[in-house]
Amino acid sequence: MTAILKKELRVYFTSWMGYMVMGVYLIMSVVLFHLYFLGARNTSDFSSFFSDMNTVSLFIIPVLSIRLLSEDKKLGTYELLLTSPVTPWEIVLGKFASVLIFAMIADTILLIYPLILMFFTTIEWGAVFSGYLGIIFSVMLFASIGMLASSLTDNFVVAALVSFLFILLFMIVSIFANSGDNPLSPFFREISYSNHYFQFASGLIKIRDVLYFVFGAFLFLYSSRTVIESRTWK
Amino acid sequence: MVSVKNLCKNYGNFQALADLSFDIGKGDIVAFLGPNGAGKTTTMRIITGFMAPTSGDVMIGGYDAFEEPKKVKAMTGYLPEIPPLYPDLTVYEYLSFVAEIKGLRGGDIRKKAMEVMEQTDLIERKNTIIGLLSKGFRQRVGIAQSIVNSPRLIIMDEPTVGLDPVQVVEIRNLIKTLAKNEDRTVVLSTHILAEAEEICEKAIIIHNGRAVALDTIEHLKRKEKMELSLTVKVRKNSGELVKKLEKTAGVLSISDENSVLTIKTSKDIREDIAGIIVRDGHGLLEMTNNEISLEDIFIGLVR
Repeated sequence: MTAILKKELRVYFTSWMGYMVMGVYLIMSVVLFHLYFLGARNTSDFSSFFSDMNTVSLFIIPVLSIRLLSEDKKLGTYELLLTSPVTPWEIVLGKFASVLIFAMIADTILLIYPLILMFFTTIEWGAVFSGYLGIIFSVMLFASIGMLASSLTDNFVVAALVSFLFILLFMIVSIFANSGDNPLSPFFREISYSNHYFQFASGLIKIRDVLYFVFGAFLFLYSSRTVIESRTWK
Repeated sequence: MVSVKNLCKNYGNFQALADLSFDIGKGDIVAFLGPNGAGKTTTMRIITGFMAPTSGDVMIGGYDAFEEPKKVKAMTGYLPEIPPLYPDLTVYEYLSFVAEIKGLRGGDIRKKAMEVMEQTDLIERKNTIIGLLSKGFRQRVGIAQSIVNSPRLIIMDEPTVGLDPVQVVEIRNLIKTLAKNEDRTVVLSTHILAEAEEICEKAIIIHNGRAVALDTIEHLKRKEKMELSLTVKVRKNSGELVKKLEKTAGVLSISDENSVLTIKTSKDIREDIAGIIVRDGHGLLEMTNNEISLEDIFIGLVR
């Protein structure tokens, strides 16, 4: 597993792709930082800054993660991985961890902004911390969805569409969740992404929200592993 | 080393393998021959554990390939038709990566990566990005990755396809040297028969998903040699000559095209035939013993 993780990270930092993605992400953060803290609004509240950065990750993470397995299928290295003595779990977790670490590096860089502002105003560190965690947990879920999409096809476009569709599905269920008279709304409320994410965004770290993301990511990773393994079922 | 029993593989309604069985002994160098679409790649993918058969069993080194995949995969090396390379990595980075996923640890990774680069003449390209290498070099990197875990069994799918003639010779020599080392079992698929004759001792000929022949190349040739064939060119050909030759003991059939006769015989009677032609003044210009090639055997079997 560590071999796969190391190799994926190496690819991010030796090819233009990793720097490109990181660059776009950080440029977006500069724009938002300027908008929120230096422009007209002039606040020191970081919760909306982090949820806007989370929206940016929503587009970036699937782009990063759909290549995880689709690219191997295109290059023929899928055959190398599957004929090596590594289990499908090791392949999935190694690749997943690489996206997570890459995203954590990018998101940790974002913490520079509150550190700068600290000298000019008081920062609510609780909100910063929960906003940061919120992004990391979202990235976990988005990356696991991208992983499943890429385990299903070698076509990047199809994989991207499949993962956006899944993410969209998790978001729009909140419409049903919050339309009171529906008997299924408690159920939709539980599976709705937005309901869980906004707890983090508003500064609340609850164990059930953490579990929602961890369990969701596990479910998609487990499915990816099963898709890979199914090739060797008689 | 490899024992395949009653292997079947269906892709939807299409049957790629139909009851394929064969055994390959330890240390054998075997060519897997067959026309395109015969099921060579499918068989290799199943043996290497890349995909499961619809039914049937594969045993490698005494282990079931699908019950104990980790053990089996640790002792095999595989070069697929398209070498499985990451274009963003350097040759050294890539080979270290493969060594590590193949189960090597610590200092062994570097040691083996260096060793296989030496064996495949890649040391000078150690730090070149694979994406910048020529096709011949990529194929070498492909071969290098297939031997990085010192496998007891190496499986190569069309290792020389798409290379220029010089590279073909180089790669063949490389495979021959690798095969001699360490008592390895090598299975390579090809549809170039000359290649099979040059590198391998045994051949498995498969056609329509079945093994139609499994023997040493020598034996396969000898079997076919029960019938000999001569081409004779004469200056003066009359019906008389053909009649006379037909009466000669050992002649099976004669086909007559102007002054060129193709004579099939059951034993070597070249001297008798030459004698008859010369004695009767037909003017012997040429006599060629038609060597049976693997091609003839192959075409005979798959027709």
